[in-house]
Amino acid sequence: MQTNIVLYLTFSIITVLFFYLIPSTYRRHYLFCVNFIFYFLCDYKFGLLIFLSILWSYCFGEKIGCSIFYRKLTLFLGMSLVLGTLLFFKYYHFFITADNSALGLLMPLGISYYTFKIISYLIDIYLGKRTPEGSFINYAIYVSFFPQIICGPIARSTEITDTLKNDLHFNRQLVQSGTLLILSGLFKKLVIADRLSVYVGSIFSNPTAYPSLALWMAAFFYTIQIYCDFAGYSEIALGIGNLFGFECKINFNLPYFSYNINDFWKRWHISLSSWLRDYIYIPLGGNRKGILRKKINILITFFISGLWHGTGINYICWGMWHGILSLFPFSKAPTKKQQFFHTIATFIFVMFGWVFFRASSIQDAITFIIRMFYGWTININSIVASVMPFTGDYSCLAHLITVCIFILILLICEWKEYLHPAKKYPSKYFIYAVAVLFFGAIGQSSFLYANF
Amino acid sequence: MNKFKKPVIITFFFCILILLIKNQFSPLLLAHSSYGMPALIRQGKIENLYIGSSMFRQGLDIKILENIMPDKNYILAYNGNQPALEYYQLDYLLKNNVKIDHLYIDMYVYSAWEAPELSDEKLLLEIGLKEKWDLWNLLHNESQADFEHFFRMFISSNNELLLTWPLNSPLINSQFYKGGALTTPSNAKADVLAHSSVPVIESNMNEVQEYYIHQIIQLAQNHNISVTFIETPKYAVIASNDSYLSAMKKYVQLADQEKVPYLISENTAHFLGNISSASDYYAFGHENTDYFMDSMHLSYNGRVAFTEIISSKLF
Repeated sequence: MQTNIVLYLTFSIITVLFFYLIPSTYRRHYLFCVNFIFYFLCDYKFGLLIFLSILWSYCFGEKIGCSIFYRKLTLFLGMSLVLGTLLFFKYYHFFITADNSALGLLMPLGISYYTFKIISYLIDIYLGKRTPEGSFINYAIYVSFFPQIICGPIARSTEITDTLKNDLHFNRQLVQSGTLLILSGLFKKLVIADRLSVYVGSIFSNPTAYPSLALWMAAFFYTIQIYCDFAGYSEIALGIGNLFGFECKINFNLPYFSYNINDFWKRWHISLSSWLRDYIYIPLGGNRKGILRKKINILITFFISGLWHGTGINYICWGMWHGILSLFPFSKAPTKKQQFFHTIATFIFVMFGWVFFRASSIQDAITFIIRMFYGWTININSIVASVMPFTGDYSCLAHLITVCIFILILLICEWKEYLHPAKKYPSKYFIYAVAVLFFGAIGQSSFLYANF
Repeated sequence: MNKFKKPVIITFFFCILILLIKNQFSPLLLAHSSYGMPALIRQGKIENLYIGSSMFRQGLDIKILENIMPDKNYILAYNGNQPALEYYQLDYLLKNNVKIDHLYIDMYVYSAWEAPELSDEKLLLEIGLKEKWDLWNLLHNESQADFEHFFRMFISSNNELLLTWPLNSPLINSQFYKGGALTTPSNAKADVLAHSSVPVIESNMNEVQEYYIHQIIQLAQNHNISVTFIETPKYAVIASNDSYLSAMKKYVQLADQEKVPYLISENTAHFLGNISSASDYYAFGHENTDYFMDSMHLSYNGRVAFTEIISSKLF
C-alpha cells in the first residue's frame, strides 16, 4: 500500500469517514488500531518491531520523567535499543556485503522516521521540554501515526499528543485546509514528480549513453522531482492529519526560492533539519563555542544528515557538500536585485548536490558530473537524444512540453506565495484538481523518501 | 462549507465538459493529418490498405509503394496491434463508408497469442465517444479490463498530445506519409541483435483473437475486399525459433482453412513444408544485421529491401 497512492488515499478516506462516525470518546482507540492495521498491511513482518519500540520507549519515557537519579543513563538505555535497531537495519548491508540475504534484511517501513520521533520524545522529557505522555495509546498514536509513517514529516510529540488530550471533534476548517493540502500534494506528486521519474531514471541509470544536454536536463528534472515527490507526500500526509483533526507544522516552505544554503535548510525537510538542529547541532555546542567549533558542528550535523539518508559514500558526500556550502553562505541578507542571482546560484549548487544523492555510487556521481561538462554540444541530434527518453517514441516532445508547463504553473503559484505569504490563491486549486485528473500518472509509484 | 462547495461543483462540471469534448471531438484534429483513420475516412477510398502493428509501420516503405501504385496505398499501424483491434479498425472504416479493394493484414503472432488489450493509445485519439465505449465493452468482456483501463481510455489517454497539439501536430505529421513512417531508423549492433531475447509464446492462439481473425475475413468478404496475410521479417533468433515457427504454423493453418492467401518468409515456408497454391513466400536476409533495428523491427535498409520484395510479389 505504501507504493500505491490510490490505495493509500482510499485507506485514508475510509478511515477518516469511520473516524467521525464513531463516538468521539472512542476515536483515540480507533486511531490506535488503524495505525497498526495500516502498518501490518504495508509491512506485517515488522509490525511487532514498531510495537516493541513504542512500548520500550514509552516505559523509558515514563522512567525519565519520574526519576531524579540516573536520568542520563535511563535516557541512554531508552534510546539505545531503538537507535541500535535503526543502525542495524540501515547499516548491516554496508558493513556485511557478503550473503546479505541470509537474514532477509529489508528495511522496516518508516524506521528512520519513527526512531527519530521516539528519540525526540525521550530527549524532550529529559530536557524538561515536556512531561511524559502518560497515555500509552496517545504515545503509540504519535509514533505510529499512519500518514506520517512512510516518509514523515517527523512531527514533535506535542503536535499530536496535545490534540489527543482534547476531544477529537470534526473541525470544518481543518478538513477544508486538509483537502486542499492533499490536492496540492497530489499535483506535485502525480503530475510532476511521477511524470519525471522515468526520464530521470533512464538517464541516471546509464549516463554515458546520453549527451551532456540530457545529463543537465536529468539533473535539473531530478531537482524538481525530488522536491515535488517529497513535498507532495508531506502535504498529503499533513492533509490527512488535518482530516483527523491534527495540525502539524509544514515540512517544506518554498525551498528553491532560498538565497543561500542556510536559508535552503530552513525551508527543506523542516522537520528533519529542525530535529538535527535541536538534537545534534545544539547539544554539540551550536554556535556558542567559537567560530571554529561552530563550523565543525555544522559539518558533523550535515555528516549525520547524509548518514541518515543512506549508507553509500555518495550520501555522505551529499551531506558534506551541503555542510561545506553552509560554511560559506553568499550573503546573509541580499538586496532584492542580488536575491534573484543568489537564488539561481543556490538552486544550481543544490542541483549538483542532488546528483550525488541520486547516483547509485560516488563513482557514478563523479562520472555524471564530468560528463555534464565534457563534450558539451547542442545540435539536432543531441536535442533529439535528450528528449527521446521521455517516452521513446513520437510523443516524447509532448511529454516534455507538458511537464514544463506544469513546472511553470507550480513556479508561478509558489512565486506568488513567496511574495505574498498571507494571501490565498484559491484558483490554483482549480488548476491542480484539473491537472491531477487529466495528467496524474496514477498507478504503481513509490515515494522517493520512503527509502530512507 | 458553501464557499467550498461551489468551486468543487464548478470544477466537477468543468472536468465533465473537458472529458466530453476530448473524447468526442479529438478525431477532428486528425482529419487532415498524414496518418490514422480520420485522414483515411476523409479520403473516402483506398485500393491497398495495410492494417498491422509497428512491424508494418517500420517494415513497409510508403514511398516505394507509392512509386509503384501512386495514391493507392495507406498504412494503418498501431503498436502491438492485434486481430481484435484490427477487426475493430476495419469495421470502423467501413461504417464510415471507406471503400477498400485489398486488405493486407500483419501476421504478428505475439499479439494474437495474448488476450485483447489496448496496446496503443493513439487509437483512442482517432475515434469518438460511442466507438470508445464499444471498444471498452470489447476489452471489458473479452479480457476483463478493469477500472484502471477505463480511466486510461476515457480520461488520461493522449492528454499530453492534446495539450501540446499546435506544437506537436506539425512535427508528428512530418514523420508520416499516408500512415507510413518517413523516419530512417539505423540498424542495431550485431551483438545486441544476437543477444536479444525471444518473447515467450503460449502454445495456443488466444481464442478471442482467433475469433476476430475469422471476423476480419468475414467482414472483408461481405464488403468484397480481398484479404492477404503478410509475415514481416524477424531477426534470425526469432525467425528460426521453434515456438515462433509453431505459432506461425497455426496462423497459416487458419488462413488455409479460410482460403485466404498469405505471404510468408522462406524460413517459415521451409518449416511448414508446403504452402497453399494461392500463397507465396519471400527470401530475406534474416541474419543481415544491416536490415534490423531490433529483433522485431526493420531498419531503413531492411524496410526498403522488404518493401521491394513484397511489391514484386503482391503487385
